[in-house]
Amino acid sequence: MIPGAFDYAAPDTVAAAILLLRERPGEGKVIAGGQSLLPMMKLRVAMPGLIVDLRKTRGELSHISNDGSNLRIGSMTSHAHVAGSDVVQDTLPVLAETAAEIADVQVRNLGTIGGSIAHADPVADYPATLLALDAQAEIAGLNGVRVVSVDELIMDAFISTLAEDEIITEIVIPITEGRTGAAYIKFANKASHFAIVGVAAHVVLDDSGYLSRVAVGITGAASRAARATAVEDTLRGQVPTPDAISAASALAADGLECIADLHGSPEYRQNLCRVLTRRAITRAVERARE
Amino acid sequence: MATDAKLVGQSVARREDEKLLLGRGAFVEDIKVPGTQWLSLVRSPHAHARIRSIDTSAALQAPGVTAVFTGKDIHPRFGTNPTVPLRFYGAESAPYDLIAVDKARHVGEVVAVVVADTRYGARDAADLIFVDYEPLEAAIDVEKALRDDAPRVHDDRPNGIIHWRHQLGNVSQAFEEAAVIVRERIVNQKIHGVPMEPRAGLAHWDPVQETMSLWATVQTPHALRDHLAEILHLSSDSVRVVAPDVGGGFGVKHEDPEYALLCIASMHLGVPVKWVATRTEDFLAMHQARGKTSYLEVSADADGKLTGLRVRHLHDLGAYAKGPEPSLSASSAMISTGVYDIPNVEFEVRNGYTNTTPQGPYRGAGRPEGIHLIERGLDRLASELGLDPTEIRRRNYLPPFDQPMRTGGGDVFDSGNYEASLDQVMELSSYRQLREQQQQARAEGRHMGIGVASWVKTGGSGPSPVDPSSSRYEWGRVRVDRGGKVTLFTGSSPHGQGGETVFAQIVADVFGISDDDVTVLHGDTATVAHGVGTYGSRALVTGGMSAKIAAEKVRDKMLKLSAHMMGCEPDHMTLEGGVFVCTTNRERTLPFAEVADASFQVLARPADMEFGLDEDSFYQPSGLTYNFGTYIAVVEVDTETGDVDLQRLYTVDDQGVIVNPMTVVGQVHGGATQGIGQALYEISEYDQTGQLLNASLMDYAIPTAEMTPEFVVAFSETPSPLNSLGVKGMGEGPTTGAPSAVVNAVVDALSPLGVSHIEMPLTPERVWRAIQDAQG
Repeated sequence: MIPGAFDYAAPDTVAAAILLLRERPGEGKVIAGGQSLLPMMKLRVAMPGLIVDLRKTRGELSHISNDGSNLRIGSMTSHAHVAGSDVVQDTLPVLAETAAEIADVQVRNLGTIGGSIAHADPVADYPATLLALDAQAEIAGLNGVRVVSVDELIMDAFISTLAEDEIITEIVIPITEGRTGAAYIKFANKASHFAIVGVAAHVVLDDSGYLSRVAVGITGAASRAARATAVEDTLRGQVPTPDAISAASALAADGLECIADLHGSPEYRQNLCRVLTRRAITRAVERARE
Repeated sequence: MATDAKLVGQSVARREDEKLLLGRGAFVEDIKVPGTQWLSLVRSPHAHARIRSIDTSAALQAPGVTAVFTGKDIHPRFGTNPTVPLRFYGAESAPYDLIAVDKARHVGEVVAVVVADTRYGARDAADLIFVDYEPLEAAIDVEKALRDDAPRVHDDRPNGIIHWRHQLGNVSQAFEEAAVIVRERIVNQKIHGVPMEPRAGLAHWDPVQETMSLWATVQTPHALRDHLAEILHLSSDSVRVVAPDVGGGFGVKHEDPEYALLCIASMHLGVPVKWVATRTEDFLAMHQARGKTSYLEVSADADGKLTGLRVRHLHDLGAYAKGPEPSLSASSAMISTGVYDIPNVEFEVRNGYTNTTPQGPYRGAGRPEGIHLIERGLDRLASELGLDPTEIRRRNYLPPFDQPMRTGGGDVFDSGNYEASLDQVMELSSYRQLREQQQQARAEGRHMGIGVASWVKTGGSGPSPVDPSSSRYEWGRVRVDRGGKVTLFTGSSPHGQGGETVFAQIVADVFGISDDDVTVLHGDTATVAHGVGTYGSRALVTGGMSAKIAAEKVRDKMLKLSAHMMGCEPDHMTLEGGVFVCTTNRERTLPFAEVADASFQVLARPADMEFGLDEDSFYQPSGLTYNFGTYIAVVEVDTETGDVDLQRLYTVDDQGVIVNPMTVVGQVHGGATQGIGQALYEISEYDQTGQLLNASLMDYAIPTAEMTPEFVVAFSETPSPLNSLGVKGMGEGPTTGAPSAVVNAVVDALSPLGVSHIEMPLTPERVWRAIQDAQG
C-alpha cells in the first residue's frame, strides 16, 4: 500500500486550483476527502503526477444552506456534516439518512459530497438519492460556472462528464413542498459496506392521496446509478397501496444491466432492486402520510 | 507483597492492556534502527508459470537501490525452507522454495527481492523488474488437482501426498442395517487469519560478531530462530529472534520464507533491513486455512442412535506443505466423531498440492472442519427422524469420564461431561421458550432459527495421538533475585491471550505472593533460552505448567534453605502468604526476601546447597487436553434478501480449571467472532486461473463489532487429569463451535421452506439461492 511518487499542491482558492490543473494536462487529480482516491493510489491503480488538494478551500466550499427553494451543499462538505445537519434534517432528511449510511465514521468525517459525485463510483450511496431528488451540480471551470444535473454529470463507472480542469463547487437540491416523503435503503456489501444495491425513493402525495410524484434512484446494481423509470411511470397518479407498490416495484430492474461481482450476481442484484424498491417506496409513503 | 488469597481463579486485570490502550506498544514497525534499508518483494502474478528470465537491470539503476536478488542468487547458497518431516505418514513433502527459482507455484509467491534506502524507493524499483513468464495450466480445485491428469504443481511428483486411513468396526454393515443415512458433500472453505498487524520483520546482521538479530511479528520466536539458523548456516545461538508486541497471531504467524529473505538481504548488505507486508501481500502469501472438501456419510438407528460414520477428507495444501499442515488433515478427520459414541468409523484423508497460497493452521487447526461435518450430519439425521436437535445429541453423547479415553475417531480425550454442557446451555438460553418464540415467529411469517452445536477441541500440544514425532514441550525458568522479586522466563510467547497476566497468577500462587512481584519475560530468544511458542491452545497448559514446576523447584529450595536458617526440620517448614513458617514453632518466621538474599550468602546456606534461586522446567504433558462445549445460536433470516441476522449466541465452554475468568470470556468473544466470520462472511475466492479475487479488506469481509451478536457466555469446569493445574487449552474452542451453531440455526430457520443444507459462508446471495432452489 505504497503509492507512486506525485507532486502536491494545496491552493487557497478554487480558481487557483483550476489554473494548476490547467498547467499539467493529463496529470492532475483533485483530492477532496481522499477516501476513494488514496486507496486507489495505494494500490497503484491511480498514479497521478500532481495532486491538487482542496483542503484550503473549505471556507469557500464547505457549507449547507437553504435558499428558500433549494438546499445548497458545498462540494467539500463532509458526509458527517450532512448526516448531522439540522438544515438537512428540516428540508431533505433523506439526504442525512443517505450520508449516515456511507462507510464508517472515519470515512464520513473526511469524505465529501463533491468528491463522491466526481468519483462516479457505481456503488456509492449519494447518487441514488441525488438522482431521486433531481439534484444539480454547479461546476467551476476556466470559463466560469456551469450547472448540470447529477444525472448528466455521472456517465458510467468512474467516468463523469467533468473536464479535467473543472471542479464541482456546489450540489443544489430542490426542496419539495406538501405531503412529501423519502427514504434510502441500502443492502451493503459486508466487507466494504458499499451498496450491493441501494434504493432511494421520493414521493409526493396530492390532497386525495394520489402520488403526484414518485422518483426512484438505484445505485450499485449497474455500472452507474439510474432512475427506475418503469416503476415511476407505473405508480405515478396511483394510490400507493401495498399491492400497487409491489406490482410497480417488480419492474425495478427493468432496463438495468445488472453487474456481476463477488458480492452479487446479476439475478441477485435484480432481486435486491425489486425488494429494496418496494421497501423504500413503502417507507417514503409512510413518511409522506405522517 | 504477601497475600493469602489465591490468585488462580481471580479476574486479575490484564497487565498487557494499559500500554496497548495508550498507544505505547512496540510492534515491529515501531522499532527503528539507524541506517535501516527497506525491502520490497516482487510476487508472481501467475498461479503457475515457468520463469524464463528476470531482467533486474533497470531496478539496479533506480535511485537508492542497493541490492536485487532472484531465486538464482539465493537458492544455490541457502536452499529451500526446512519442512516438517512426514515420515510417519510414509510421505515426503516437495521442496519448499524460499523464493521461486524456475517456476512460480501460486499468485503471490516471491520471485525477486529489492532493497533500497527508502520504503518508497524499494517499492518503485520493484515495478522496474521484468520477469518473463511462461504461464502454465494451473491446478486450483483440490478435488481436480488430485486426479491423475491434473497439472502438476511440482514437476517431479503427483499432487497427492499422504493417504491416511482409519477404521473402527464395520461401517458398510452399519449402513446396511441403519434406519437412516445422511450423505452430503461439505466444503469447509478456505479462509484467512487476518491478524490486525500484518507480517513485519527487521533483520540486523552484525558482521563483526557474525550474529543475526531479527525482530518479527511471530508466535514462535524460538522455532523461527532454529529455522533461520538452519537456512543461514549459523548456530541457533548466533541467531536472536525477538517477537515484540505482536498484533494478533491466530496460528498464521510462523516461519514464513520472507523472514529468511530479510535476513539474507541484511547479511549481504551488512545493514539492517526492514519489511512490512501490505494487507494484500498477507492475503496473497500468508498461509490460508481450512480448505477441505469432504464427503460425509452418517447413519443412525430408528431411535436416533448413531451407528456409523464415514468421512472422506480432501485437503488442499496449496503450493507447498507448510509446517504441520499435512498432519492436521488427519487430526481434522479424527475429531469428526465429535463428542459422540460412534461404534463404526471409517476415515480416508488425502492431501493435494494446488497452485494456491500454502495452507497452514488457523485458530481451530483442522478441528472446526471435522466438527462441522458431524454437527451438520446430526441435524440432518434429527430432521429425518423428527427429533429435536438437542435430543439426538443427548442420545449419543459419550458418558461422563474423568480419565483419558480413546474415542472412535482415535483421539484420546482427557475428560468430559457433554450432556451436562447441553443441559447448561439449554437452561442459559431458555431453550423451550426459544422454541415457543420460534413457533410464534413462524405464525407471523418471520423466519427465526435456533442452532445447536456440541464441540470438542484439542489443546495443550503436547504429544499427538496420531504422530508421536510431533510431540512438543514448553520451557519455563523462575529466578528470584536477592530482593525477593520473582521473574518468569517463558518460552510460551503470548500475543494477546493474556499470558503475562495468567502466568504471573500461577507463579505468584506457588509462593503465596502478589502477582505484582512477578515479572514475566518472553518473546526474546536472547533472554529466554528455550521455547516452543504459543499456538494450538497450548500456552496455559504447557507454558503454565512449566512455569509452575520451575516455581515449585525454587520454592522447595527456599523451604530447605529457610529450615536450615531457622534450625527447623525441613518437613515442618511451610510458606504461608509469602512468609516462611516453622510449624512446630509458629513464632519463628522468615520473610520471603530474607530467604532470597540468604541464597546468595556463603554462610547462610547449607554446605551442599548451590547458590542462588534459579530453576527451570522442560514440561511435556502426558497427553492432549480436550476442551468442549455446547453453543446455541439464534438467527432471523430475511428470506427476500437472504440476509442473516445473528441475534444471540449462547455459549457454554469447559476448559477445566479457569485461571482468569475475565480472559476466558474475552477468548470466547474473539474466538466465536472468528467462527462467525467463517459461518457467514469469509471465503478466499479463487477464479479458475488461480487469481485470488478478494485480496483486500474491501472485498474480504471479517466481522466487525456491529456484525457480532449478543453473547451470553457461561462456563463449566471439568478438570483435566493430565496436569496439576487441572487446566485445558481453550482459545480455539469457540472458533470450532460457533460455525456449526450458526449454520444449523440458519438451516433451522429455513427448514419450513425445504432448505436442508447451505455451504459456508452463508452470504446473503447463497442463502437467497438456497431458498430459490428449495422452492423450485
